[in-house]
Amino acid sequence: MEIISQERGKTNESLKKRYIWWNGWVLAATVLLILVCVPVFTLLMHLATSASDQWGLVAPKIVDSYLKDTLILLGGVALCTFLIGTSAAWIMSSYEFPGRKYMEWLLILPMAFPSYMMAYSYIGLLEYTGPIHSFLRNTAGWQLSGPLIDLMNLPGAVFIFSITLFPYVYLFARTSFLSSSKEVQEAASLLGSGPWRTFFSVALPMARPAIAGGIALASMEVLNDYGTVKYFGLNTFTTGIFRAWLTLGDLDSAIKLASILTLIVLLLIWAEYFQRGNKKWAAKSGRNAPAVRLPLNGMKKWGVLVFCSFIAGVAFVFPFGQLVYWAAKTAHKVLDHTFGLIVLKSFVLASFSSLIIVVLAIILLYTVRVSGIYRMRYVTRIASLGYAIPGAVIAVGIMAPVIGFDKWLLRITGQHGPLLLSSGLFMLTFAYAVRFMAVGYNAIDSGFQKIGKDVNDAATTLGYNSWKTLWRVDLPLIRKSISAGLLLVFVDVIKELPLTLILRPFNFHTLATKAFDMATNEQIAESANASLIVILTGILPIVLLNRIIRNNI
Amino acid sequence: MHPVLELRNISKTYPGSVGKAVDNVSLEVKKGDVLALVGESGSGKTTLLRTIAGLEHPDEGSLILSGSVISEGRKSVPAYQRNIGMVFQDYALFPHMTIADNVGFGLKGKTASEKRKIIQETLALTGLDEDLRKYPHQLSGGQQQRVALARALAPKPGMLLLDEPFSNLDTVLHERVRDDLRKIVKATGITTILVTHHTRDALSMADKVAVIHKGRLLQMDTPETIYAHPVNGYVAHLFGKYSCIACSPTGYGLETAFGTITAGYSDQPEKPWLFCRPEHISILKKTGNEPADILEGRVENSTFLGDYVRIVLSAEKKGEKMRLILHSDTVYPAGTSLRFVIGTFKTVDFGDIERE
Repeated sequence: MEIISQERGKTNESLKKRYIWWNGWVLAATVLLILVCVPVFTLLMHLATSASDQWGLVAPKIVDSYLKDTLILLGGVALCTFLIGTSAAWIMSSYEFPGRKYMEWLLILPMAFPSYMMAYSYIGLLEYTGPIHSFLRNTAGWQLSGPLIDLMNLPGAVFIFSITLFPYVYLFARTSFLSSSKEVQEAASLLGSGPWRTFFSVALPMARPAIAGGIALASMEVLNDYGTVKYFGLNTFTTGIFRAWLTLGDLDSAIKLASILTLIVLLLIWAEYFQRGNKKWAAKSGRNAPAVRLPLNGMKKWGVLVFCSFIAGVAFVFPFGQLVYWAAKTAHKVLDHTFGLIVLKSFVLASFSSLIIVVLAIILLYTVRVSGIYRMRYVTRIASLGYAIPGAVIAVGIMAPVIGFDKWLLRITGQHGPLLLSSGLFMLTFAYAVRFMAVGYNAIDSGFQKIGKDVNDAATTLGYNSWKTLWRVDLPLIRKSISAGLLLVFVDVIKELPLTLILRPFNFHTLATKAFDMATNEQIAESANASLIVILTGILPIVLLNRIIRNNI
Repeated sequence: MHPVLELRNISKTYPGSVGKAVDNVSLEVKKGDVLALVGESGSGKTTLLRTIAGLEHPDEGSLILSGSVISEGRKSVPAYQRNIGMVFQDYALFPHMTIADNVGFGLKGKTASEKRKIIQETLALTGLDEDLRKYPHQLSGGQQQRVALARALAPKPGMLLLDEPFSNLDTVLHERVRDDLRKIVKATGITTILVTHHTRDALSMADKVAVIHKGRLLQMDTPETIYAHPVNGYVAHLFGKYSCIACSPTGYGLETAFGTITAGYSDQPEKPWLFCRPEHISILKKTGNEPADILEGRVENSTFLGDYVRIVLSAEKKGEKMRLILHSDTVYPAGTSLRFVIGTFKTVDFGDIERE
């Protein structure tokens, strides 16, 4: 080699050092990945450490209360969301009936409801002075004394979670039913299988990975929830973490509970991954002809319509109406200067967090794009793991190292000043970044996938380095994905409760924490104002999401 | 004069894949030449092209462009500093920019009027006559390719790379673009490397053809030599039908199942097979006034293919059946006895012989 370069040409000055792949992008991405992994590592490390004194108070509740309630909730919600979501998806993708277009919308809207707000609304709907009770007493003339149905228990919580979370299963199953090549179903019917057999032996097995994915997402939402279970007085791991930290002030026990919950989540992810295996059999090729829906007649038509309307009514229209009624009744009491400030703070915090998250996601994915490091894409996927981990877990996972860092900082500077990182909004934003990175990541990723790598290579051969290429080519081309990512993260931050409750600075309120506070302080009607703003914000991306799904298939 | 580009023992393995994508390739390209890298899909020809562009980095070997080393071992000059133009298979035009912006993208440090002038000149050269304010999606495939070519040529690169330039064009457009492309490239005098799996494109466009198979360079030579004198059965097969018949030297000629050839025999090395292309065989229609070395065989089958008829002749020698493929303008019934002469041939010893 040496001889050649001496003989044939001077050594080029721009000949880079060894390891062409090591550059600023890779460095930034590595630091970022390590930071994002900090909470999970902290928790896994604490699994092995010795327990604190109060652990004795917490430990006995794990099996007979936390584990039992959590598992019953998970099982019940999985079953109910599967039944509601899959049946609704099959009806929507296979049959044509009056009002189908509106139903398509109404069935996704419950997603905008944080489950604790759904719970508040249902308590109102079913209480003695609520609309259902009044109707039965005054109009139907029933003799009723106590509450109609007691929701404040496990089955009640399963009900609330199921009607808010079934859209996950519904969306995934519908996408699968629509995209699985119609030809396969046509082949099945030509082979003499009726609609029921086609559903059970062809469509459902083909949609299984998608449905399981939807159920897994719903389960993670259940594990993440604090508002509902707290309101209903149930004992899950999340309430256990809150009790340990906020009531007993025992961070160590909180971490221990969180790490056990992390194990459950990792198990869940693994199970989902395992069941999917290599099954990529959904519509690999074949025409993705627009689905031909079977028009229904007579009784069937009305039966289907009533079924869908019932789901939509129970899961969105009635509870939403209750909130609107409450908000209208209490608006004059609630809407004041302080409330306006909370709205403003919520929106600013959410905008800031979503901006940070999307920028970080761009750094991660652009590194994957330009570094050419083998399997880098898989490595960066770690960053999106946070979405599966309950907010309360992330909160304690971040609090421990950040407080530790602050104490260390105080010790080496020898000052008794305010804590640097653990007092402001830093921890909260950091935690949002860990929890919602997946949302921004997936949005940006799909954008990059769509534009392909060739435009990037083209810019490179035309003399643009990776930084200039990003600004001139990549960012303008993925601007739609960037806005989608910003919006989705924004809404998630607005809705987020448990993480915010733990990490917010003293007396700092977002719309979600304000609604939770008011509802737990017997101001349930007043809380509807904050709830309504959160829900209306949440409807925005759903409108977009539905349009994307419809256009892409 | 030094070659414009020199590859020395370039090897590249993709992590996680078995075998090398590029395996110890060395070659030189002279200034102003058009080199075609030919191979089947997955042969490593595109990887080699991307390595030259700087979009992939070799594990071993060195690259020398215009006398300076641009890659050596694991050190590499990044692609954006190489000044090599590339036209991508799917053109990779920037969808958010107009034609003018696309072509002007690589022009840096120039005033707006200079830019405009270069853009217009380059587009005129590539033969695109369109509104410069249009966007790529408003153009046909052929027009998009011309924009892509203009974009690559505008910064006056030291070298031009074309990745499968004809794969997205229909048959009619294909031949026209092929002729145009060679004219444009020759007019600018730019050294060009193109990758293609169509051997016809390679033969008609290139000054030199390099055959790549499983990451290795099998043969690099002029199109005529590659066609008539392939180094092995794979290269022979890649560029079209051929025949290999057993031959053995006697005192005065080469003895085959179809007869004995005397002319040109003494120039040939002593090898067990006689190789020839179908069009080098001519059928003798009349008797009388005959040249020497007449061979004879029976028609096994003839297939009408439009512009010619493919005939398979057979003859037996010592119980072993030999077959020859040739082209004719007439269909002969099976069993007809035909007399013919072989114009160009060579004796070969293909280890990997593939007979039909």
